[in-house]
Amino acid sequence: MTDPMGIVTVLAMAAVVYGTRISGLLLAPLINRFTGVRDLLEILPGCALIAVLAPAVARGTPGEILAVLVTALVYWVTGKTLVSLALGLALVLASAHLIGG
Amino acid sequence: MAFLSGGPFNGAHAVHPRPDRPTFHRPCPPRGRADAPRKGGPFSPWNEREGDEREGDEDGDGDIAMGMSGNRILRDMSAGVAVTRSFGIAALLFGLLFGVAAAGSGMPSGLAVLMSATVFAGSAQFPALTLWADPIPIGAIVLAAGFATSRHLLMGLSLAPQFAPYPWPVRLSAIAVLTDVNWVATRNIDPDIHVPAFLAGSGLAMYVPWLAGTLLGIAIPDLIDPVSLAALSFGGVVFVTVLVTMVAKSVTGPRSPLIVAGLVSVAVTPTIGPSLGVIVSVLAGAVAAILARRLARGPA
Repeated sequence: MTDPMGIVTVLAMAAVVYGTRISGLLLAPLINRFTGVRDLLEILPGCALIAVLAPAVARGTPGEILAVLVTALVYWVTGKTLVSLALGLALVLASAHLIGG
Repeated sequence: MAFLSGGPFNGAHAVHPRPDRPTFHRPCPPRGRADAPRKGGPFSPWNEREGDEREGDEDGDGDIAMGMSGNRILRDMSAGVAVTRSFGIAALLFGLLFGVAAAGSGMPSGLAVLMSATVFAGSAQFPALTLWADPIPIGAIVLAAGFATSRHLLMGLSLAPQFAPYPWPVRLSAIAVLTDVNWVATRNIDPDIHVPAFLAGSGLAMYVPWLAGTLLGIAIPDLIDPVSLAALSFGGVVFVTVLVTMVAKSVTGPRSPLIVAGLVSVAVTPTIGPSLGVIVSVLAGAVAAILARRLARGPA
């Protein structure tokens, strides 16, 4: 039988994550008062994404770093999501199997 | 909505995008010019829908939501699915990785499925697996989940103007499936598209494969050989690479904040950890954006 504490933990996680999802909508009327802040909102979520990405790439193996560079380049040039993703994942798999990283 | 007024970074500019930037939307003609040519972006679900006229919110009083028929809501939801389905394949893969990792961590399979179904955030779920122990450190797990998904706050703030015309129950329901992908997909869509429906469709295109992948990973943990499994754990990075490239391509302001945030995150994350690292990097990106705007304006 599943531990009730486990269920409580998962549901608490869900509540907190949902809270982060709705927080932007709820706080928008307050943030709206600050013109300088609202103008930043196009770029700041992207900064958060790259802040997740960059350290992981920096820790990557040469094969993984190559995969990231190729993925970014292919998407930049072609704009094709699936092709970029598939190529990147294929390179990650190939480097792991062929050169061990 | 006052949010839509003014500012070089403002979402209102997305209505008339730069033609060289990728978009997820059907660039609409300026209001009142229904005869203007349409040039759908490479991901636009509307490219082949000529004659698909919609009434816009001409007076800005939020009557878009009120005037939307069920068919249109379904159609815009389908559009959300269409633009995100490429990422759905990746979501299936990462859900599978989560399922395999959960099975290996000793977490009861029912809880792993419950987590994927209710949390629906890999950045919160994978760290939870590493923290899972007996007794369960509930405080640490919940706090880590909140930090790991704190970027949702920024994404919600940036989407808020697009959600403003819709009733709160609709907004709060649709935003439940917000992910990085959905934010990228939704941030530039036309205001005459039912934004919550589009986001919900986009979210479902990620949610269903994520959940299916989790179930698959739990049911068949040996589906992928160990070498590939270890390699695919880097797949999330490839996934985010595409998202970051999309943002970098489509952003209308300077890109220097992205570079600054990336460099700062590389510098600080090994010391302060990924969660705080994101917060510090975003702050650095904000400073860079403010400086870039001041430099662009020139001396007063």
